[in-house]
Amino acid sequence: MLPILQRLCWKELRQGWLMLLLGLLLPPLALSLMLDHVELLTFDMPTIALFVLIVGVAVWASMLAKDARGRQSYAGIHFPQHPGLASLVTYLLQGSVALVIGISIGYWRARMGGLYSYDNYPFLGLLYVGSTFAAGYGLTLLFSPPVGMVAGILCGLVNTWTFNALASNQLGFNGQDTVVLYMGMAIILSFFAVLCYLLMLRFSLKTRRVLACVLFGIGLLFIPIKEFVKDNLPQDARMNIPVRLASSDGALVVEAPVIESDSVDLRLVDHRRLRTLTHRFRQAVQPLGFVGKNVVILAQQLKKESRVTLLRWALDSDAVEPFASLPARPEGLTYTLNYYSLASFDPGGRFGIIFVPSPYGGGYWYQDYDLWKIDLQQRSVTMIKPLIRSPSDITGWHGNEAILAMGNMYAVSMATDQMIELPAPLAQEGKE
Amino acid sequence: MKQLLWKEWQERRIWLLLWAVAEVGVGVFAHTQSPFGSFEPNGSTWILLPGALALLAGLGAYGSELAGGRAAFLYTRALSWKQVLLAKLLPGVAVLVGAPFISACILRLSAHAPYTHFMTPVNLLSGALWMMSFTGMAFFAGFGCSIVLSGLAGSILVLFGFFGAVFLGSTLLAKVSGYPSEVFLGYIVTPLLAVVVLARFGITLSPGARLRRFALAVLIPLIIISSAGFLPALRKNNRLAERIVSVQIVSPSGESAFARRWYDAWKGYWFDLRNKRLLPLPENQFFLAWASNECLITQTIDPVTGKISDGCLLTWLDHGQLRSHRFESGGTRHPYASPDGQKVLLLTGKDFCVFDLRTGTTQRFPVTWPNNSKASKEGADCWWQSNDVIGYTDPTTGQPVLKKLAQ
Repeated sequence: MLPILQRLCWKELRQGWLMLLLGLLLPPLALSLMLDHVELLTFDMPTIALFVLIVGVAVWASMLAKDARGRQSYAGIHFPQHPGLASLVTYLLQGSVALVIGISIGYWRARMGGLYSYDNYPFLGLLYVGSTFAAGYGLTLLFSPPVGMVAGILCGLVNTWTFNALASNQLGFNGQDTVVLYMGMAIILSFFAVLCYLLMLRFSLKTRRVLACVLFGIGLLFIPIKEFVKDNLPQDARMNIPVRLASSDGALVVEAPVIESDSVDLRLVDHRRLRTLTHRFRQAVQPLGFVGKNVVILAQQLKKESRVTLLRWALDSDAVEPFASLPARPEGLTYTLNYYSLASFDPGGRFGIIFVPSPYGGGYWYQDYDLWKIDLQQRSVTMIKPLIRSPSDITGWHGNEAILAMGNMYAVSMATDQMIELPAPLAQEGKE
Repeated sequence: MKQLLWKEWQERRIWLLLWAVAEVGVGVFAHTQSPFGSFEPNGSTWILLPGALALLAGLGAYGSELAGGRAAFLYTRALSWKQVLLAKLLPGVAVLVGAPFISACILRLSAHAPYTHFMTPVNLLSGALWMMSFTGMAFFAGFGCSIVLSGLAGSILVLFGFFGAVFLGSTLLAKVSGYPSEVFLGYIVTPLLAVVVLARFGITLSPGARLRRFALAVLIPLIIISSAGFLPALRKNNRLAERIVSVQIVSPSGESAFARRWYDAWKGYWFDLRNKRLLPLPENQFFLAWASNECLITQTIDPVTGKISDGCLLTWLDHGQLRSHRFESGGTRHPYASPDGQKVLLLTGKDFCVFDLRTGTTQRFPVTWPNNSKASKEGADCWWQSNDVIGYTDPTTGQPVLKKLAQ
């Protein structure tokens, strides 16, 4: 009896293992719903639903194309028609269903996301589902169902990214730009499958495939490449915000208007002494801070230069002299517009510290900074630590140490040039 | 074995070489590989290039073998499944380990002088290890997914399905334990387990049978890992992380700091560094500035809508106790400290105000603002002439005005 039962169990496991696994998933799900603090219902349902939809549409399109390809020879024999016409009719009829689904999904996404304007979202939904369908169908005709499915899913994922990015306004498109941009993409991708299909009748298989890949690549990578290029274009070393730096008592103010040319007029207002001083710099500069009542420290980075020069502006004599330079990321000064918040000078006027965008840093997702000590008397700079992800906004000065807060607290000794971590506080429940 | 390796090299050398060159290139020129011991990559998008090529190199491992009955032919030779597996893994592992080491050496040799001190062997090795783990995850995930369907496209399709399962599992777990990333890394191992299972006896089976076995080998660890997230020890309320406080902004004197709770960003604290004490601030305060060495200015924020209320809250430490004073309007412009640090000058609404931190009293200096002028929108300059005298630029005349404080 036992061997028979074993074999029957084995048979059941072989045949029904998938359902068993899904059944195993249910208890933790049910348990989680019972726990008070678990909010499973707050899943980002639109995102999950969109992902499932992509996969579904890509598979659907590929299967349709596979069948259509199989029927080609039959249709060609029995009807006096172009051999590709049957596949084209299938694509257009079924594709129109995909477009209707896309419009509905776009509207639904806008509603679910609590978006203020629905104008572009039905159109984007149309593009999103339509391009997935078109890529899945077109590449299956030329290659194979797996290739079509992968292409469709990739197309959908990339469009989902732009879709969600637009929903959260991460991309700087607005108004006319959005419509024009997406109309371009829609045209490329909607006609993509038809074009592939027609091309396959005129050229060799290899040529058709290459052409299909090129078309697919353009449609798929249009927006990512546009974003990448936009973010990696060298920036002009001008500053597009007005600069204003005041001393802690407000008596000294250095300011510059929006800088629209290479030269800049920095204006110093000394309220106590009722004095105004203007100095023209031939390249854009940023004030870093005041040292005493007569000196302003400035930073200057020439275009394409991978160094930042520190300048000392003596207010009494209106003399400006460079006293140190340190390696920095090209365009780093422009990149960090509020540069002066990244430098600090001790009240005694002997030392300073500065965070400079690192030449070893990246720039798209994060900006890494190098921490330097500035010795104003020796007129030298010393690196304290390279590659810091989150620089301290304000530096405290305590004795001979600079105190930095970067999630944890750190003390930088001006005597030893060492940075040490200070003990972190811990909140105590119920005892506060 | 030599012949197997030669075969692999012939079939996959283009992908492997592309991966190696890209990894060394972006490591050296885009600095994606940190030479300073950081375990985090820099912000360059170029890091995706070696990751994508490692993934493709992995995805091509078994996928090409499964097409055209080549796997069945391979097993007619006098070979064990372990030898085949090893031959497919070794070239990838060689690139995985070798490329970051070459990058590290080039980075060290080409470094600027101030940086060489920080490029110790341990730091260089840490950066190389990070790069290995990043590209390794991609390579092994691709390698695992290559054993189910034939061809590169088949492997990518399996990869999508696998990531879908991982995404759902980690999202579910994130809601319970708050630690999705660690679990995500654990998931990466699961396709490798599936490879070992399949490479042992399944490579010559039909695609459907391979797919079922792959799903079984991946889903069981996923379910076990996901279920572990429901254990009480991992639940949110019991975690030490709940009590961790992140120090945000230090005061200019370096003796105090504004801190926030890690898991509740709007729960603020005053951190007294001298006495190592943590004093709770009123809820939902948004840091604005340090008005003086020991006077904090915050604004109230609605955590749901993100709306910041008008006015501000001044908080300072007085004989070990926190004291605070609320200004119902303004107070967010020009918070200047007096030279002795005992008073704060602010622009509140239409008045200049001086707040005395010792006595907690306010002196107001009303100013007439011309309608629609630049000054009425942006405020006017104000400053401390001395400890007892303030100055401001009259918004109407543009002339400096000095006011002596009442004693």
